[in-house]
Amino acid sequence: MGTSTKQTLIFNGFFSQTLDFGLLIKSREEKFKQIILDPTKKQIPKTDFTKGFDNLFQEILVKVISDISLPKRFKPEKIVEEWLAKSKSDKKRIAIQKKQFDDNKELLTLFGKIFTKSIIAFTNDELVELTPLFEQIKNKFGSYLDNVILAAEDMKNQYSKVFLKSTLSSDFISITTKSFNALQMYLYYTKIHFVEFCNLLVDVFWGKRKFTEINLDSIIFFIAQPFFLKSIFELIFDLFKLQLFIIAWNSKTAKEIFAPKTDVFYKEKLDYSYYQKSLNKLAKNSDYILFTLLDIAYEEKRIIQFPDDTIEDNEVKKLISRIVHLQHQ
Amino acid sequence: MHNVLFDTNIFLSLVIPHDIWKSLITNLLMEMKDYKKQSKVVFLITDLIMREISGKAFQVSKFINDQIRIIYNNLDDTDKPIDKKKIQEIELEFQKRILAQQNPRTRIRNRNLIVFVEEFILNELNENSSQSIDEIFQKSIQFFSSFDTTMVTMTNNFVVENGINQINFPKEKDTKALIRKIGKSLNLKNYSDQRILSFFIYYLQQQKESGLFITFDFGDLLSRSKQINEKYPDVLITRPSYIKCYLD
Repeated sequence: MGTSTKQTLIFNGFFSQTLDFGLLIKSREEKFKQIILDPTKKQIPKTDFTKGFDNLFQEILVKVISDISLPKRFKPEKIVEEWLAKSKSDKKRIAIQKKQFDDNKELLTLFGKIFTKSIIAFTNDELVELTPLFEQIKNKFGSYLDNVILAAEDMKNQYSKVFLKSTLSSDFISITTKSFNALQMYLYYTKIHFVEFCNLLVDVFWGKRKFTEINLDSIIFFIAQPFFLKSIFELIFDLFKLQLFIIAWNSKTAKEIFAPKTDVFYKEKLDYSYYQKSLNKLAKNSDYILFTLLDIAYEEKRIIQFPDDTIEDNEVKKLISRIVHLQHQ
Repeated sequence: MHNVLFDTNIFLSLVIPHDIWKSLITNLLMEMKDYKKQSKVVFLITDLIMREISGKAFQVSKFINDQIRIIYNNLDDTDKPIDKKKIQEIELEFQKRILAQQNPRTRIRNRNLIVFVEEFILNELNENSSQSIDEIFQKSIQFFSSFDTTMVTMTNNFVVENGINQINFPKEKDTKALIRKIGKSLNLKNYSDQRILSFFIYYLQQQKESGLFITFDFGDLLSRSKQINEKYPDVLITRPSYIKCYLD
């Protein structure tokens, strides 16, 4: 939401990366279906990911804009038009997107290779060495998730900057930070489960354990549990909507929304009831995600290293202790 | 067997690394290791306590963020490295905020919170003196905004590390109504305490077991301990030092 980075923040960085992550899951499912239906098919059909992503993003934008409260001076179509014009001329965004598509393609190819090879191996009763492929996919998917976690960290930084200069309520910064924390924790957990799942599959292929011994519940929960994923994507879209809403009510023209003149935003200019409603929804959903993840951590008897950079600091520990103690006097 | 449920204040003493009560409670837990091994005692936490911790930390973060922003807005040249003159300005602004806390009910707590923020900012400054006000204040906003996530994560880790059993508040309407009924009969001043204690009583009734509710809350819970025990003999409200005395 800052002067130089506002547009990048909205349409690149965290949001597009995370939306892309959703698209990746969806595309992967389709590819798997194709391979499973026709096990002899070794080649993954070529897909124009760029086109798919732009269409998806445009659809999302239209839906988002029709959902949010906007000042009467803006027509939703005009905002979509402005965004499309801006995004086509934004070389930085195009470069980031291209890199993401290439990365995703590579990831999908790896997923495809593993499944094709394993199906062929099972069909022909051959021994196939899959460990290197699993190692590659673990590293690739892990670094992909790390990038999204970092992008969320960057968003938190930018929001802190905006909050300091603006008159937005303290709810705004506390709730949006909590939402980003919940998303980061989800991604962190997805990574852990995915890596463990890959390691187990390697054991299966080496005959160290049977496939039936693997508990698929946890990995399915993180990658494909519809109800939980719905909450995650709702949270991302609600953050996106809130950001667009705040910028729109603080802009004079549709063009200004995508070419900001300031990074100072006034709550006095907003449709306050919509603003409050949006924050409440975000708070409720981020709480749900956070506590669901904590329940899982408890069930799995797992220690959460999050946020890992602050807890280790002794001075910070002391500070937390004193603040909490004060609250209970 | 005795079930032991800690109130939020006790739990925070356990979770927080440097809390002044921590040594007292952890020593007690160490002493009770054998009891735990022999299954004479089970330590419990409810999800209600986790949510209470989160809620309290959230309120702290909101108050602190407001104070940080007020101070920030009174400072000039925020993008430049901090020199001695700037430090004087920062000190003065913090003093103003401390003095501005006049509500007799919250004054001491709020003034202390502001002092802690000041400490955080000075720590940051001591670690890297070339930082600008913008950088340091952004860091502090980020740190305090994440305060509730930090707290619930630390609590969860403590629960996992120490083998504490988590019991979750039921979702069924009928059960909720039963718990509410118990809660009303307790008639406590604090709604949150009432909810936690009534759920504990319901849980004990279901398990057909007895339990201790451990707290430092002298004003409400401890002062009514005897009355509540008369009404619900399976539960006893007491302080940490007394746990061993009441175990079979």
